[in-house]
Amino acid sequence: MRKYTIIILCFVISFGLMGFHAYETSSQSLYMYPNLPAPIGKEPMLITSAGQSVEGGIIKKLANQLHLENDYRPRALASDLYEYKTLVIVVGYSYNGLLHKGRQFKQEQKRIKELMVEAEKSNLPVVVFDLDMQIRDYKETWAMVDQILPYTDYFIGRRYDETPKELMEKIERHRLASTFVNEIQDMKIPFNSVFR
Amino acid sequence: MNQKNNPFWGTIGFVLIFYGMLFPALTTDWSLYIFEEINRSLNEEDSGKLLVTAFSYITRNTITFSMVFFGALFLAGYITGSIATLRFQAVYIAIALSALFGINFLYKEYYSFLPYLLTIGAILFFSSYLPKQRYFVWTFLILLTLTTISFQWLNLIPSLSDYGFGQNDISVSLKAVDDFLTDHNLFNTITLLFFLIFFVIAVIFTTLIHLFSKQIATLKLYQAQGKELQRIRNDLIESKVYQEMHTLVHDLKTPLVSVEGLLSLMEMKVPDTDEKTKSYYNRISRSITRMKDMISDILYEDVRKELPAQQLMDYVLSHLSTDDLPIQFEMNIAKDVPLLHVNKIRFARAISNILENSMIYLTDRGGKISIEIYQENGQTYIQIEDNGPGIEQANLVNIWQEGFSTKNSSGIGLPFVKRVVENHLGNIEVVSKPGSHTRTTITLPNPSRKETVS
Repeated sequence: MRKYTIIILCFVISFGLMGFHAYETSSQSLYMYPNLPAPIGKEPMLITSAGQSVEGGIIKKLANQLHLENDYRPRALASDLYEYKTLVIVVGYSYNGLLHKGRQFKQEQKRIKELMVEAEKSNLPVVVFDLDMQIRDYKETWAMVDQILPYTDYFIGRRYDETPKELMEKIERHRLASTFVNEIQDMKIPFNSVFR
Repeated sequence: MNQKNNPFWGTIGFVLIFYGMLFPALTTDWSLYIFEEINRSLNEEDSGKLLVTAFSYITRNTITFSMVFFGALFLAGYITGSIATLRFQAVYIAIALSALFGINFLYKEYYSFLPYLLTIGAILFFSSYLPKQRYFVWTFLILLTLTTISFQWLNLIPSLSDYGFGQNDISVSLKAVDDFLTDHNLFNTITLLFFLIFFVIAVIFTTLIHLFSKQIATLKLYQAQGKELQRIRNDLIESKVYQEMHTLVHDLKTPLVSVEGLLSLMEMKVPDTDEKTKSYYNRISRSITRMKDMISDILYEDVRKELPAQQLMDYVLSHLSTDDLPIQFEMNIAKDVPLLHVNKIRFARAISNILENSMIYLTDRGGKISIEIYQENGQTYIQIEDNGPGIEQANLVNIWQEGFSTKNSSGIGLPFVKRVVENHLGNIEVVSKPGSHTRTTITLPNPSRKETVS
């Protein structure tokens, strides 16, 4: 039995980690809008990615399904904003996404910052999407969230059992309107309410 | 892995881990291909393509982590000097976790520690049932590959995301697209199925290897028992032969006494003038006395006799057929060597055995055997040296074991020599340098005056 001590310890730690993760993702209840009471955005919209994850493409698909006039430009710059009336940002850091686009994280941060400042200057409503921030629980993702939330008008997120405490605190601090849904397809309702 | 402390294995382990950690950088095109294929699956809304991409991702991760896990085996083995201890397991886990920490630090892909730790636990658990024998490294490699593939699939089960599985970049991307395309139906079923398939294969593989090794061990035990039985049977036969010889030799004494008695009667009838016939009778009588002595020597081990070293060696050499052999004998007996106090027949047989061993190897290739007898510090040394091929160090420790032989002989010659020498309160030592020479030295205590008189 002694020879299994380390192996058993290994499994115990693993199950402990599983419990910890489950606890982390079920911290508190949430009260929020099911959708916006009145539209805040207009078409056409620019969909871009903060962190270059594939989830940007999913939001573009949702926009198309809703027949919303949109352009998906993952590397859009502040200078591109002049032809759009709403800015949609999908947050999620992706190492491979940045590698694919040949960018460094610092460059991405700078682009997003400029985009946010320009959106504010142009009075463009900013809608932020979080598809799997709880899983992409990286420090780079949270750095982007901190950068974007002060300029955000509406936050549409994904709920895994319950929404994490850290994200809720940030949303409350910035007094944001937010909606959390269980499935990706459910995002269409709050997304549609932004425009119609 | 025979010599686990060999720096060679340590280096191999280090290199494997290093390449495992470097693999994502060396295969950047591969990871970009995976990322592009995920995007393409999304754009074309093709879940089949997404599944093929998942296979590609699993393959890449399996190669990366298998190299790390395999390298950790060698490195931990080198550090701890063993692969079957708790210390080895602790070091193995420490090395493997450090490697993952390094990979996450270098690439920011953020592989989860949880499935990784489970994989290590499973590998160590399964490997504890693998026989630590000749093919351990290869069976371990197969096992760790199966286990790694199996647990990599856990990263793609969406239901386990909340519990800390599959939090690295590509896993999340694959699951996000799967969520959009199939509402997780595809990955929740297929990935679980693949996990179970590979896990069951790993379990079956371990069980089969374990049972096979048990079977081999039982077979080896039976073989050893068979050999032991054969040896005991041989000993029994030998002992019976020896007993019969002993009885036969003993029985020789009766006719010999008759011959001696009759001879003395016949001698009395010979006229004093017939000197020639008398001398014949004398010679026959001396031969009979010698024969009686020999019988005593054979029958009674403790019988000792004083005799000069030269006489003993003449007796030995007269019983060896050295004619026509390409062997040069050289004998040097120091003048101050005292009389030897030995059982002539047995001691001569012992020296003959040593000489015959040397002669076996020199018969074909030729050579020289030198015998030197001298005294030093109250002891007599009999040194026999040949310039034959010598004895390997590994075999040298076994030469005194009964039945051990490198030339298909009975393997009882040298044990007999040792027994005889020790019965004479002496020592025997064999020194050999393979390819150069073999030197056997018998040391006998010089007989004290009291012993000599008795």
